[in-house]
Amino acid sequence: MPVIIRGIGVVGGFGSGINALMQALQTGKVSPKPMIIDSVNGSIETGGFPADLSPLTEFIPLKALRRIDHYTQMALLGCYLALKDADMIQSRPCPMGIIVATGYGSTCNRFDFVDPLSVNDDICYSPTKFSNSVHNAAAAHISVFLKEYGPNLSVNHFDMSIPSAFLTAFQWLEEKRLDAVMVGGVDEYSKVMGYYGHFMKSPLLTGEGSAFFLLTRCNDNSLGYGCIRDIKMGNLKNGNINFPQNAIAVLNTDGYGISDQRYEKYIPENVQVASYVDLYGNLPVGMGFDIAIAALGLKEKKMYASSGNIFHYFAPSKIIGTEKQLDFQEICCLKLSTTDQFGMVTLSPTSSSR
Amino acid sequence: MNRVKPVSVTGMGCLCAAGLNLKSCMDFLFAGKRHPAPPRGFCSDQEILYPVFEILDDFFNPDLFNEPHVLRTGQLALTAALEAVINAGVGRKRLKQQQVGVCIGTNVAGSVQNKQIQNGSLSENFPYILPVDRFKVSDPAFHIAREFELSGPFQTIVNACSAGGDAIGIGASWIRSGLCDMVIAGGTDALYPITYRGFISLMNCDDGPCKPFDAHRKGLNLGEGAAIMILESDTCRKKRGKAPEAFILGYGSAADAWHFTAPARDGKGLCMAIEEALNMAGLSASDIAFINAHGTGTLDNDRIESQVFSSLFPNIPFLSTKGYVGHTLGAAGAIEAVFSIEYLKQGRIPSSVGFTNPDSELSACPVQKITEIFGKTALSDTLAFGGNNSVLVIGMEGD
Repeated sequence: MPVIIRGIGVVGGFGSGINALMQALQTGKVSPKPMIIDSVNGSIETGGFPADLSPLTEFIPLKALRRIDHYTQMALLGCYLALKDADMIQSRPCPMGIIVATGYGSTCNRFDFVDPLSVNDDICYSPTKFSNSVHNAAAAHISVFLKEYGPNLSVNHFDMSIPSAFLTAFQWLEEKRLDAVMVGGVDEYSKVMGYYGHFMKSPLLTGEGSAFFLLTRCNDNSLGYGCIRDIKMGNLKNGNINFPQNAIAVLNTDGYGISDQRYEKYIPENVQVASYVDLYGNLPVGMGFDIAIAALGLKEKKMYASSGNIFHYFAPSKIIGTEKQLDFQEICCLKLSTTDQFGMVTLSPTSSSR
Repeated sequence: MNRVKPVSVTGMGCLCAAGLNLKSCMDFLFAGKRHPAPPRGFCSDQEILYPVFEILDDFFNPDLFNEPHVLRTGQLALTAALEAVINAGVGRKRLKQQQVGVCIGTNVAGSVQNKQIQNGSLSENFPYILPVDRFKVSDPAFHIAREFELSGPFQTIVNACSAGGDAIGIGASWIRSGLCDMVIAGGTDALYPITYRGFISLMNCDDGPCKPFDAHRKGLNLGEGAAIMILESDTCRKKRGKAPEAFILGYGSAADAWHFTAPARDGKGLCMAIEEALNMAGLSASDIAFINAHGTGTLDNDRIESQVFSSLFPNIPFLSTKGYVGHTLGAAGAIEAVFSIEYLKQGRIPSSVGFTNPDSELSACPVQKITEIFGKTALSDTLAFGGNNSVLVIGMEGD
């Protein structure tokens, strides 16, 4: 039985919800917000893509969120939006697995460049802050708010976190451990990474947000966005990446030339490429947004024009430069890590190609 | 979930405060020793120094590794992995040629790097750049995959205290599904100031040696260590003529959905995880020879486990090893799974050290002496921050 994407919840600098993402895809642009980073070397003014979490109160009363930090709130909002998108807030499949991927974890934004050691002590001596700094905080709070007893997993694998999480979600559904899994990723705007990007002169600004997916095993493909056909992870040094015929590749480039130029080597001649990173910024779980964009493309039978800056590495004819009709093509979301690893999630319009 | 095919364990490695390899750990446990002491690896300005189970020896030999420049959590993982690989009798060349995955549980692997970032040199013009570059490559699954030049999938699980057990359960599913020929699975965690002080802030550390299930228990002692298993497909194992050491028969996990730091009072999540693991193994409670309890020594944890064991496993002996090695967080589930296999091999379990005074509020008590066990199957459970419950069913027979 195929694994279908039933609902999607996305939160980022572009707004919240799949419609906000679609709007960003249509305009091909999201305006960054000014971000001030107080550093030991003085204040740095840069830009970023912060997420607005005010829609979360539609699902959870403000009072219940008072001890829940920004990181976990982003995950909660992504998760509730995915359930809402699937029309399953009141009647989700039970038990449902919960898998949360994160590249930075929940501790990253607790650094203070002015007095890092005092913040360190602050975490140490505050039970609430310490509890929220544990990497599985987001997944745990999701289970508590949803009252969900199903398996609960958190993975922290820097830029390979999303394919890693999808791999396990796919496994759980394939082996019929569960009928439904909520899988997604979350990363918070990190002053450390904002600072890093600023001094490394990254052309891609730092982002934050969450992307969650309600996956189910289901024979009725019309119910969702499309199928997850395959997830591959491995080492680039040990061989090439196998793409389906005439697939489209969505590349999770990170703005660093030395890293991004490697994609060209692994993309076959008959595969067209697109990148949408400019719409959500640089964050380890950014591939989650690519999967959402690919799923949206399958549902609408069209691929939006690439907005990411990849023309340095590919010929114009290879890039999806304008909106393109899809003809039962598969879409491969690809991430090449900084460490020669790769992760690829392949989406298919139907289960027939399985 | 219905009964599934058992997955062979063909190699194991372990190091913790009880010993620097699996054999020395076993000798230490059955000798009934323990040496908790205040932490040496970092300074503490606490008024009360809480004992921990630290690895004091110079355990890491960089000459044995191609990629030795890793932090302590990675060093622990690599050391245990090398022991497991040698124990499995599989060479680096074969590891490179086969589809070998890595699945590792941890708690502090990323956080250790965060600490470096926090303490980034204030005198540099561009502080934090180098620590960020290191942060990107800090996870232990990556360290192992890079060291052995592996080509399969890899996953670092951060499910707090249940991460090691979850990693083994998920690694086993990679074998069953044909995703991998072998999986290097386990857990690793080093002692770390933030977790040390964080647990103290939660007021669940004992200021003396911990006393799991005892009437006078006051909390846990932290520890550090790593344990790794080599999980292998039957096809791969038979091809190289390797007999299994043991089998992963079942794995279950469930959430309490109750509270972030306190276990559910009714133990429902733990019961669900046990039920799933037993179903997967095709076994019933009466098939279990002993239980390796999570047994942290905290008031709530021990009460819930005792209640669940007396209800589901009446009269089945159980123990906690936390009294010997401390709570090793993300490594605990893996260390105790490896120990459980050794207990099955020896047909006995060590005493549950620290337990001397039965608690009238607990409906089941752990063993107080080295106890002979009858049977070929064990159950090992871990309960985690956030309400995760993870259960492994381990056996000496695959059919």
